[in-house]
Amino acid sequence: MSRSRYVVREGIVIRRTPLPSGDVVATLLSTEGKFRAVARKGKRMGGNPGRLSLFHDVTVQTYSRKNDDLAVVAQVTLNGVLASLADAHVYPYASLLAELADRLATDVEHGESLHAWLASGLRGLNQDPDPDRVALVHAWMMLRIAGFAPDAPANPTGATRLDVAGGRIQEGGSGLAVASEVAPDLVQLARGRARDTLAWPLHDRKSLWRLFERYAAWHVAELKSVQMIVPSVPERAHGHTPT
Amino acid sequence: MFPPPLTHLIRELGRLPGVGPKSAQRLAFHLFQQDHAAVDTLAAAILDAKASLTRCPNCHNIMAVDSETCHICSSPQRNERLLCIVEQPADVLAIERSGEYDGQYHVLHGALSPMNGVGPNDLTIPHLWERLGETGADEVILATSTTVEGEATAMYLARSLHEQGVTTSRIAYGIPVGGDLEYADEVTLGRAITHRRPVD
Repeated sequence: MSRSRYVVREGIVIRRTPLPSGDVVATLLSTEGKFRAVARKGKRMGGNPGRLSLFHDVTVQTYSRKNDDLAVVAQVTLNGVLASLADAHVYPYASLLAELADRLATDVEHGESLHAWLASGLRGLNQDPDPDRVALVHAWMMLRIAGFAPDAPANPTGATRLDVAGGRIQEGGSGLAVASEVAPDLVQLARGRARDTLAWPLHDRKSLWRLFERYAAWHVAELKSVQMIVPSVPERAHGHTPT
Repeated sequence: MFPPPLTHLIRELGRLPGVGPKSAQRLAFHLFQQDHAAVDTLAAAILDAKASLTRCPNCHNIMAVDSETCHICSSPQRNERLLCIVEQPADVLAIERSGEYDGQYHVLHGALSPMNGVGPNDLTIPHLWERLGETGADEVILATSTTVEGEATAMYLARSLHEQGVTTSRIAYGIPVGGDLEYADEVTLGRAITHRRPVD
């Protein structure tokens, strides 16, 4: 039985790449994983291009032509818009979660939970007065569900280090030095129950962002959005370069 | 299939935005059928445009290299105290075609896009602050595009401009002129309702 050339899928727009031709390649994350489609004349205002804006939750009908890798967007239905994500103080965080989801979603096995955590993060950013906290917790949770969370002792007591390359938080040894007041927060982010982590008071967020940036860069990719959240990341003195 | 020079020409034409392989082939055959003078004129126009155009040091719009500033910045007819911020030089042309604006422009050459590594310092925003510091403005109109990236850029600028005490406005959202409401998409219609205006 031949596969239908028309496919209908629901997803969140996590990246838009305008092409010089006026078309736009949209990357969406669905519960089944990531997919891309080209919206013809996507730079035009309104209609399908308007619905395919960044962070929108949409249902897309795509048409795949023979011998063409990239499906063409035929119709778009808007399921939800989170208007506050364009606010200047929220936008960098929403971009970070979308970029992280884009990088992590190479394996469809994580699709459902990754989509759930991205949707939860974007909803939280849209309404929570503290977007920095929402983004930090969700970024670590997304790393966890993709299987990149560092192993961690239950209650670190001594000098704690984040062994980036080894993927573990440890007492002593090599890795990035973690201040004593930051260590419990880092362990909570790395292994705590999701519900508890969402309510956990995070003290030194700048340090936690730096640790996330270094850890994600090693295990996933250099995330460009982090630069707008923690502009002065290169405090390499905070720890050792992972080996 | 084709002689190498023709294949080369098709390939190069195919790199142009909006020109697919078939269009590139048609253009290449069209050029082949033209006489030498017509092709020379086209080639000279391309080279001349590339060599004699640059960015205006004041507003970053496109201008001729032998000018000090672009034709809009140097025009005495334009209101120097009114500034419109746009993403691309093409947006300047679009607003000029409306015939409704007589102020000056500032072209950002993009919009904030953290996931593509585009921050404020990668656009002409630092120069915008310098410009406003030197000449000031009665009003700044934010005419960035209505994408999330354009909205975020407008909001970022609005916040900084408010801190500087500059009157700031955003271009209106709404229904295209001449269209039926039932054909408007829900995003545009929703914004048109949200940003409705009182009628006298």
